[in-house]
Amino acid sequence: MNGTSKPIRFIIGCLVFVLTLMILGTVVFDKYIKTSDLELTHQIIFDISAQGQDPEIFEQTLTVLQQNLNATAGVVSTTFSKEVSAQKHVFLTARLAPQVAVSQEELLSNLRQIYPNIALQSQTLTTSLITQLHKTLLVLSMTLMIFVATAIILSISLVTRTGLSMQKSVIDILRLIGSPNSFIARQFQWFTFRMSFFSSIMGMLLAFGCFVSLSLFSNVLGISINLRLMSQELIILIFCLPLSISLLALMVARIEVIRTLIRLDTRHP
Amino acid sequence: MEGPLLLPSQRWQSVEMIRFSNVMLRYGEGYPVFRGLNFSFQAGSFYFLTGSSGVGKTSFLKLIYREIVPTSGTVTVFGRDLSTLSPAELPYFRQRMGLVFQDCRLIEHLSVLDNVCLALRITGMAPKRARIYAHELLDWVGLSTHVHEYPRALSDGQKQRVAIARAVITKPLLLLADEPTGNVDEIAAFKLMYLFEELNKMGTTVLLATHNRAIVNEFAYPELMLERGQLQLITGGHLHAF
Repeated sequence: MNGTSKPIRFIIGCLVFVLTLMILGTVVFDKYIKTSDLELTHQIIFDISAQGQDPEIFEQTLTVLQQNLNATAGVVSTTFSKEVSAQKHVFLTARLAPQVAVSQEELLSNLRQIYPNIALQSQTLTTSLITQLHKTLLVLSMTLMIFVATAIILSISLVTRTGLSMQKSVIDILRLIGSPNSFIARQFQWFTFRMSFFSSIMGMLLAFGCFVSLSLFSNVLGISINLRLMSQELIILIFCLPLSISLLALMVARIEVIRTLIRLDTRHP
Repeated sequence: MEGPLLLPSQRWQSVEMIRFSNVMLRYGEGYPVFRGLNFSFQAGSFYFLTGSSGVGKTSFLKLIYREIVPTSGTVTVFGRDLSTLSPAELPYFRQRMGLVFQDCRLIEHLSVLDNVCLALRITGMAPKRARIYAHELLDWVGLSTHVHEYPRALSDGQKQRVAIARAVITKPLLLLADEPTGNVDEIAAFKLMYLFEELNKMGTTVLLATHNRAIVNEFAYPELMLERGQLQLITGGHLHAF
């Protein structure tokens, strides 16, 4: 329709690409957390090494460690793992009160004063990182969605206004031969719908392609990305994304055209 | 040719097609273009609107299709005072008339067929049906072999015929033509005039603004002459004042 529509197509495609990647990443990550059965944030697991220790003394040490933890503010309960691992490690799980912020490093430091061969289980460390990342991703997704919607509204308004000014002579002819504002608006809105729809499809397919490529190479990178974690609902949602964006663009274009034409009507006698 | 009839409300139907009542038109603070213009125009008639360049022929037509409004007085078309026309009603009012301009005003990126179809599509007709009517009409104006060409590939006379086809495809009650022969040679001008004559015989009221004396003299239709802001009727060589 006009020179600005090509960059707008590119912008919409990029926005949808980033949004799709973000949604896919967030949801897959979310599913990963749930299926990995991680109890997020509300427990700390300590890895106590029994290597070279006298069993009786070790038992007493474990009891002291447990008592120390139970006496710590914010710790609700503690349990030992049922079996000692083959590498002679005992795992002490401390369940935390949900609303209390407990420093893992402080707890560890206190326990090390009793028994040096104690460490945070690696999964705990990962879990807390994952928790933070999960929350961050959710917030980022929401923010990105709002940003994408705003960017699309502004872009479509711009391209519609530019189109209207470039097509002024055609619009004048249409109005002279008796075209209602709704007919003129329909021409713009369907052009905008098609432009947005195909740009969104391209962006979404590109994002899917990147995601599939990532999952194929994930083992090489040492990260497991399991696309089967995506539910059917999510896939439908993702595929509805281009339609939603196109409908939003259509509405914006129509409103912009009608608004401009009404302004022209009121200026004309 | 059968074609669609627009569906006006009863208020549009009137034997008196146009009435100017004490119309005065002035642009800004300048000298009035028209002063105290009074006349009426019956359905089914054919008038030439003549006058020297700049006398106000185009302004006269603009008052009728309501691109401008008079400074004072009333213009009534199809029985409706145009000052009471709302912006929402204006497109439907204009659909009842056909407009032909000196510069044709075709849409360059649409083919000849699509330009003609446009007048029907804006009334809500389906594109397929509109194309059937457009084909028939383009055949009538002698452009059936040019339907898929674009305006830039046509001569001025051919473009004007496309413009006429677009103007009449909706079977308007009134056809306003502003210097339709201005950009064409004498032979093409006469061909266009025969088309206008045919349309008038089919019942369309025609008001044709021109400064081409050869055309006016050849076709013995009443002449509305604009001079010094006043309108004079000339029929059979006789002058009648309004």
